[in-house]
Amino acid sequence: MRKRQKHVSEEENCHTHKSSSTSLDISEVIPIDLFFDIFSRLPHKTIAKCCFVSKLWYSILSRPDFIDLIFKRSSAHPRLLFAFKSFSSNWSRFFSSPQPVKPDENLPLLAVDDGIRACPWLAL
Amino acid sequence: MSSNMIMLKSSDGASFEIEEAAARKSKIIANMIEVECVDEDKAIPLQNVTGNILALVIEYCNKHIVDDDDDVATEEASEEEEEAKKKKVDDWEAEFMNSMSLETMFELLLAANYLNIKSLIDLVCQTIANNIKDKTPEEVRKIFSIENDFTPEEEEEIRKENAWAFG
Repeated sequence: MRKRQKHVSEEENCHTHKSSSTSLDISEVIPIDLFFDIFSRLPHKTIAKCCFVSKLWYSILSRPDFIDLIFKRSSAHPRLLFAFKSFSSNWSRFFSSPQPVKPDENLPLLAVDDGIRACPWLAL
Repeated sequence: MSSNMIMLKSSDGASFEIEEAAARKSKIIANMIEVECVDEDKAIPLQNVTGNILALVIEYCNKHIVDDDDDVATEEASEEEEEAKKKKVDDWEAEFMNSMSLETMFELLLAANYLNIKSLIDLVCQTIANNIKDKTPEEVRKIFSIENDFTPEEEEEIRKENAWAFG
């Protein structure tokens, strides 16, 4: 039993060593939920910049489950999101505005054109 | 203070003795203790954690169990004392994380995830996030030794579409 355990642990070691020595690319080394955990702590602008790191990062950061996670975290500070989609040409525009906490305050509604097409989560 | 000690064994065969209260920082080990899976005479084998990483995990748990004890002892501590204590922990954590390479950070994160130590996962994730924050794509690539596999045309196309983020 002892011997078997040792054998298994050597294999594990070998695997761990291999994955960490061949790549320092965090997206390849750690599970996706931890990758999302790290990136959900970053400002949206930093996430936008990280989309350009590599094709792999771009595809991961555009995943619907990541967008969903960002949306859930953002819902602690609710904002109104307006989406306009053109069906004749392939574009969409997102506008966001802080959600009034007291509806009867009648604050002017300020909308900012976030101008996003490629990375829809950036508007959230 | 509880003097129950638990033995942990790393994947490369190193044994560590740790106070039960500190080991309970790991939800996995806490659950094993709850269901009485832990035999006092035998070490708990941790197949996914090497000795050098387990040593760091134990250092973290020991540090934080002392802090938790302090919390109990000074329930009526003033706000200033609370703040001073928090700063002490923050300083310790900053130094703890500062001393390690990116590779070690990844391994520590994987170990914390395997052992289910939420506060350590948070600490490592936040540290890595702080390293990335406000960096340019070039700087991020350098940190993680990543090669840019976008063609200049592809990069330019996405850059145009997201120009506001680089303003």
